[in-house]
Amino acid sequence: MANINPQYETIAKQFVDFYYQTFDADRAKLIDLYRPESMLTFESSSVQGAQAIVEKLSSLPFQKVAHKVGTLDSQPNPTGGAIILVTGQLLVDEEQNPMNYTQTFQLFPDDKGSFFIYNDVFKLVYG
Amino acid sequence: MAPRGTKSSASATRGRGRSNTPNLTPRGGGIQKRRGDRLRIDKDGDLVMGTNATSNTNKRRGASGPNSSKPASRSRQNAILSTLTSGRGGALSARFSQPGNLRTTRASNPENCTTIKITGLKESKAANNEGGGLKDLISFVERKAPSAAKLTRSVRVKKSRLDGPFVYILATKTDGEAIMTLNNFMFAGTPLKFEVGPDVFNTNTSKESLSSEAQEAKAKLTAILQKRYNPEAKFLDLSALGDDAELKGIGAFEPGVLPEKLFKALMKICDETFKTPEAKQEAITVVSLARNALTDVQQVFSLADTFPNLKQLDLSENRIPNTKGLGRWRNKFRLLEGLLVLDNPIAVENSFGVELLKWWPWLQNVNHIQARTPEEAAAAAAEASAKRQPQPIPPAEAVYIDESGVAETFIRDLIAGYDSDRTKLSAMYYDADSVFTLNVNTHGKPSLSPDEILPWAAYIKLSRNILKITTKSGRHQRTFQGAILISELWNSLPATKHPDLETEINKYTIECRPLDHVPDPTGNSPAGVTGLNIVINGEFEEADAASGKIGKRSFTRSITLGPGRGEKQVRVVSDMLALRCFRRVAPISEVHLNIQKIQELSHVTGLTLGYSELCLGDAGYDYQAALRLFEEKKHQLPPEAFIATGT
Repeated sequence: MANINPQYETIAKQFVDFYYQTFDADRAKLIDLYRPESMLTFESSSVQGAQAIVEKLSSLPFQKVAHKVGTLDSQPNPTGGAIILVTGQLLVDEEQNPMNYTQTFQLFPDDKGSFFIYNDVFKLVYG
Repeated sequence: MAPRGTKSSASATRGRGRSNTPNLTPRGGGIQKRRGDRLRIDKDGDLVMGTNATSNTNKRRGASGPNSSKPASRSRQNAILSTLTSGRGGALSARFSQPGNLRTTRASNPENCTTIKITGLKESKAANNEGGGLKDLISFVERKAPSAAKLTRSVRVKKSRLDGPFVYILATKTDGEAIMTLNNFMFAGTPLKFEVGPDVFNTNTSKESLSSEAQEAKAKLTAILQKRYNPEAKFLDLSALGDDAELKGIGAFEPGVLPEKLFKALMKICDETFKTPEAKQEAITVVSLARNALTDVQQVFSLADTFPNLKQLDLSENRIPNTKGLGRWRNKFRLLEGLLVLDNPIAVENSFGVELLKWWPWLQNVNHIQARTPEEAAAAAAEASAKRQPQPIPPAEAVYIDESGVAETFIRDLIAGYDSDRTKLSAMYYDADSVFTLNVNTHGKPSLSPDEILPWAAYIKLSRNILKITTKSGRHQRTFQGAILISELWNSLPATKHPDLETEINKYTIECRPLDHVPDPTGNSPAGVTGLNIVINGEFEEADAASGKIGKRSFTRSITLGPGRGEKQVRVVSDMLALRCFRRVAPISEVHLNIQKIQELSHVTGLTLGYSELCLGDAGYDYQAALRLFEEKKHQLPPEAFIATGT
């Protein structure tokens, strides 16, 4: 039967902190969080595999970026990982006006006791 | 054709791998293998081409206008034309009627007027008279109608127009009735047929509002078009416009007047002359834009709007570098059969024809070479037409793997049920183990008028934002497990109305992926089974009970589906709803285009991405309008609006 991780909320919180910290500092380093079976849907395009995902993220048209998480909710998923739903704001480069976004992650545990992103759906919310 | 509702067709439409595996199967292997081609963003290259087209359009700056330095050689027998009868080349056509040709008495009130179509003039002896016999016919009508209708007063024709075999006349309603009694009267040896006709004297055209200069320019442009039109060959020769002395005489090439504007003016006259698509198709199927120094089709883009059903197009002796130069017309000219791009840089490219055949399904002849047979073209057109059918959930670009249609059925039930009967919805898909949570993001400014902005009171206490709700008990309180609790909670929440999934699918983006290790309630697969994870981004209308306001909210909802127990085939394992203030969610393809526009505008203007986005937002994401807005406002912008240069 399903394997519910009692620590899923803590995992979610720590993951989100780490993910955006890394993203904002050097998004190429996010490669460690993805696996070959990972999938990223960024707006309209989808890519699979850690390498392709990081290439996609690196190609985004901004240098500096800062995520500000507004809400974070999480439920355990049956893999022992967690589903995470984030809404927040994104500031790019010298821009003062943030863009809103939502992002959904599916975290799966790996066999070394840590977690990786199985699914990552990012969406900007335009006005 | 992409019929909805049947499982096989749904999967065929999506065509993203997963050949035969149902979704809710015991897990074990196959995921990697199946993943092979499901990730194609774009099954027919649409996105790629769209990218090219857009960026190309946007990048063109200072492209040369139709001011060709080459001398015009009207005598050059253009190859398309040679396949057609050239007939009376340049014959005047009464169809391009100048404003002055209208027999206008005074401004007529359209409410009280009747348009009558008369057939038979062309067959009559009067057809050879000056002006095609139109004057003779009108005086015949005005002379005969009173007596035919047994009136003692005179009857007036307010406006008249010769249009191919037909004559259209405009008269007051009462005069019109009198004129209709002339049906089957003999005129110059031929019986005339009178019918109440279509409103070709479209009174909405703003002739009256045009300045006299504009009127004059319009008359000149009309005359130019007349000379360039060959009705026998259905050919409109717009070649070497830059060398047209008469065009130059209008001052169309004065600084500040865009050649594109001029071309649009020409197209507008065509639109006014041939009112319906059928009339245009009947009148013109061949157009030459040769020798116009075109590097792309930006300046002449409106040709595609005015003559969407063109069959032959000549772009020879231009400067089109590659297929990108034609990209903006990619989804236009659905009936184009022949294309000439001789003496363009593009013609050196070997493969360009292959690309063009993909764009234009009926295209058979490129630069005099038969690229495919009419039968092959028909097959390609059928395929293209199937692809152009509206697609069911989801928008084509989103990842959506739902071979069995389980997710689609669920999403339909979810959206409809959440609006109409939440108790029933919870009973259908939720069981004792299902978990629902919601959270609200109260930040941000809604794109709504103030009286549509809803308070958050109904949700805020339930919001499980674990950044703010930090205690175990607080989080637990806001976790709703079991169908009964979920149903109770839902029924305490405000009533909603979601956009229709069929007709307003562009208000959603929906993604769906298999998810492993979903619990198997039968206990047969201890390691769990493969379920589905669905992410819906969308909006709904909500009525706030306290204030009586009706407003909108945006939402993201992530749902995990697994196999059910007993009567339930499918159950919700987990359901997370995030609400935020309403912001329009652009359709997925539009978002992509918009991002490109933002990048391009930033690139072209030096604005930061953020300011580019603001500028485009103000211009309704019309790129050209945004550029104009930028030009207008650039001196008022603060320095931080611009990307710092590398100093």
